[in-house]
Amino acid sequence: MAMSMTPAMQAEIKILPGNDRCVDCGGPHPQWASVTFGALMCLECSGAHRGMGVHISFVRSVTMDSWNEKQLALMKGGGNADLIAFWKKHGVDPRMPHNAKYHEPASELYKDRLRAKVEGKPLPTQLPQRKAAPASCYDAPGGGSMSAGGFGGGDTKGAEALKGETEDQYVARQRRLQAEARERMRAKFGGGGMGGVGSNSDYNPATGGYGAGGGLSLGGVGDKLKGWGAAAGAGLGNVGAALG
Amino acid sequence: MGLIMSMMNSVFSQFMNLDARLCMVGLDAAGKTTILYKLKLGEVVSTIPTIGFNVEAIEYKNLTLTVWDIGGQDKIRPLWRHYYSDTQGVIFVVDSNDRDRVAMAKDELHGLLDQFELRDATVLIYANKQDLPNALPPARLVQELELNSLRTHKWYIQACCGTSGDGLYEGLDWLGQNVKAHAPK
Repeated sequence: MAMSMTPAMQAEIKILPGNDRCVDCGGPHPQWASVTFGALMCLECSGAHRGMGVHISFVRSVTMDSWNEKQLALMKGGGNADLIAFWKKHGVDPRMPHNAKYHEPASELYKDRLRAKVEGKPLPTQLPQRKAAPASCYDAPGGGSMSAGGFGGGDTKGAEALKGETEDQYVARQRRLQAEARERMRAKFGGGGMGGVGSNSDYNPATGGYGAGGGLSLGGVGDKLKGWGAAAGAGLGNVGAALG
Repeated sequence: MGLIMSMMNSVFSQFMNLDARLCMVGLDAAGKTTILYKLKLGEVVSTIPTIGFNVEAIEYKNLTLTVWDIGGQDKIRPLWRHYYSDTQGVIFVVDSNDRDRVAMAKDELHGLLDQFELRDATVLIYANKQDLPNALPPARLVQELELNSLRTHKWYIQACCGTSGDGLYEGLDWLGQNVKAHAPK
């Protein structure tokens, strides 16, 4: 049953070692949490966590979200100092940019250990295989304190301009990142692009209108029906669902 | 007659400048703010959780869309209804990658459409974050969100990726055809 954290519950979590500072940037009074990592962080860093996707880090507000028992258990079982010590033990700099840091094998292992701990299962010890952090165009902010640590001039996958980067270079880099993201989606969905399904089967996304006129319109319906078959297999297509 | 009127309407709407007021809602971290600023600026901004709302006027083709992007945290969801009056359309954003919370998104969406103020609203659902590994395709989301049980509203679900911009304009194209826009006041 989901509920708000009572002041007593909040106090219980805030008192854990290291939880008085953001786990990522060290900022004071963190009010946001990565449930996946049982850690507290500041508003800005929570934005970066959200940008990585819930499969990496699931974010809740301590004060503005409701919590279930499992989530609370993860927060009580974790703690910022614990996570930071684990990173250091595995040679991960706690001040690395978010996307790279949370894709480190050590981070994945920590996440699995924390979950095992609260579920009362044996703790895994084997570091998972290193996977490349995806070239997300929605990454940790590259500017400010995060790039000060000397990671090759900041976060090159980030949304913000890097230090010393000209406007043209910035635009070129964003274009390249977008093209890469499109390429990933093409690989996933094929050339059909982003599909849609609507309450009215007459809508033709290719023309942005209802019916394409004459025979073309009929052809469009056939294509859509074919798309439905493909959607079942490939997972995406332009489908119309008649409103009953 | 109705058909002729609607055809006339669609012919005229090609030339007239029209306004529509839209509310963009959805669970926290669905990608609402990212979508808003991708549409407005064509850029990916690094966002932080929205406490309150963002509002932007977006010009697209002959439409001026005033889009209200409202924060999605649990405790601020009850505030959504304060933004509903005089709203012609709803953009409901779903994190397609967040399989654990699809059921919660379904409840919020259906609860939203039960609201009296939104009885005539057109509903565009953005199935966002299609670039992420666990993303559900729109055909699956039609089932999970029980869209086929929505008999009272015109709806369309559009797969998209807010960060690359893919799918966003396809969704607006549908809205442009279906939202009850009005001439500027």
